[in-house]
Amino acid sequence: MNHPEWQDALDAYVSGQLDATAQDALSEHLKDCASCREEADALARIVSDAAALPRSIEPPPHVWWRLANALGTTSEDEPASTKVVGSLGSRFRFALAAAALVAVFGAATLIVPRHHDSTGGTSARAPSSENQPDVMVISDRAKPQPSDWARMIWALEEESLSTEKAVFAGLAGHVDAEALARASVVEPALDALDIAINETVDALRQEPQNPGLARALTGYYERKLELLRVAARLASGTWA
Amino acid sequence: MVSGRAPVLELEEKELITGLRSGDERALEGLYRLHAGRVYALGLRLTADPSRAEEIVQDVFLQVWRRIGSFEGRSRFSTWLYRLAVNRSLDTLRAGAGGRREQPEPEAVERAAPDNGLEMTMDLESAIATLPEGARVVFVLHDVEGYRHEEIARLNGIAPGTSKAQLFRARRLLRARLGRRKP
Repeated sequence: MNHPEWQDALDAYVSGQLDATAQDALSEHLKDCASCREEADALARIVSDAAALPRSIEPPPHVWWRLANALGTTSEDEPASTKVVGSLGSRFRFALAAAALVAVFGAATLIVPRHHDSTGGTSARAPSSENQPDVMVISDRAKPQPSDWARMIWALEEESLSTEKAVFAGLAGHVDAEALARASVVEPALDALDIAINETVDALRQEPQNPGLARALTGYYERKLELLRVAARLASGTWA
Repeated sequence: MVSGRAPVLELEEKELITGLRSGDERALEGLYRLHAGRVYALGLRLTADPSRAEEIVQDVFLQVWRRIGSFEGRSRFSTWLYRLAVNRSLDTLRAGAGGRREQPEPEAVERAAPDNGLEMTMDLESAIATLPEGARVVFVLHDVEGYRHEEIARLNGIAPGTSKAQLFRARRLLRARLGRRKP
């Protein structure tokens, strides 16, 4: 910054807020001053990049489920259950990933999704081949309606988040260097579930009445939940 | 009520607002699908905290649900909504001034931002998140959202000159932090 007297003008210049006279003066200066020219170019790039940032970033899907729950349970105060658990931080993710390494590669066959009916009970699951997604058998009498699916999905996600929190508390003091080193290998596997969840939520936005998508979403959440439980058992040393 | 069984995404905003006035939750969902991304982006950039941004989205749409009666339709609904979002975000920052949460790692903001394949975008998002709060708020409102200094000053309870000074500071800090970017 060799010419501080021009700095305010540079700011107005890159914002397009400099009057014609001042702009002419600055333009003359920029012809002869490489450092101010470089400064102007850099500032102009920041301004144009900022203006080009995406105006919309989709919030995580649980934000809507919590909002819907809040609307259904209260009209004034936000219930405790709608408080955002929040991101748990990279340390937890790494610790969880380390525990999940064994879960994914050593105990995958033990991850058996549970399925709930609309009343919170457990329903039977139809036989499925290895190449076909699991299909929940739902009697006509118990067939969930869209609002039921929303509640089921929200409940599963709540349980998943609270389990993550519990696992975090359990792992926080027990993560060794070796586990952390393994984390980078497993992190994508955990992220894959979240990606599948987000993509299914996006599809549900397009087809909110599609029960197949709702079933798939509950299945993904249940798998994530089971994985978290396995991780918790591994961390606590209770895995047989 | 929202008419028939049409998916909420197919309804016009005007119909959704009418539905909302009559207490139809599906109308709120439709408006959420239309505008939550913008509210979240605003909250995320102003607070640099994904958890706070989620709370802001929830609170803003709860306000929309409860206060739709105060929307007189003189301005666009989106203008009214984003003003609620800005005010809620600034309230969050003011409330946090006395018991500030731990500043999130830049990684947390990167993870919350969309993966659009542009390293430039991610770098700028991360750099914005590291700005001091006052500079960040003014930069986001002015250079990202397009507010004028006079309006930013009114919203923040500061002088327009202070807003300009904060913008000056923010741009120089960003320039220093983005200095190694490829052209």
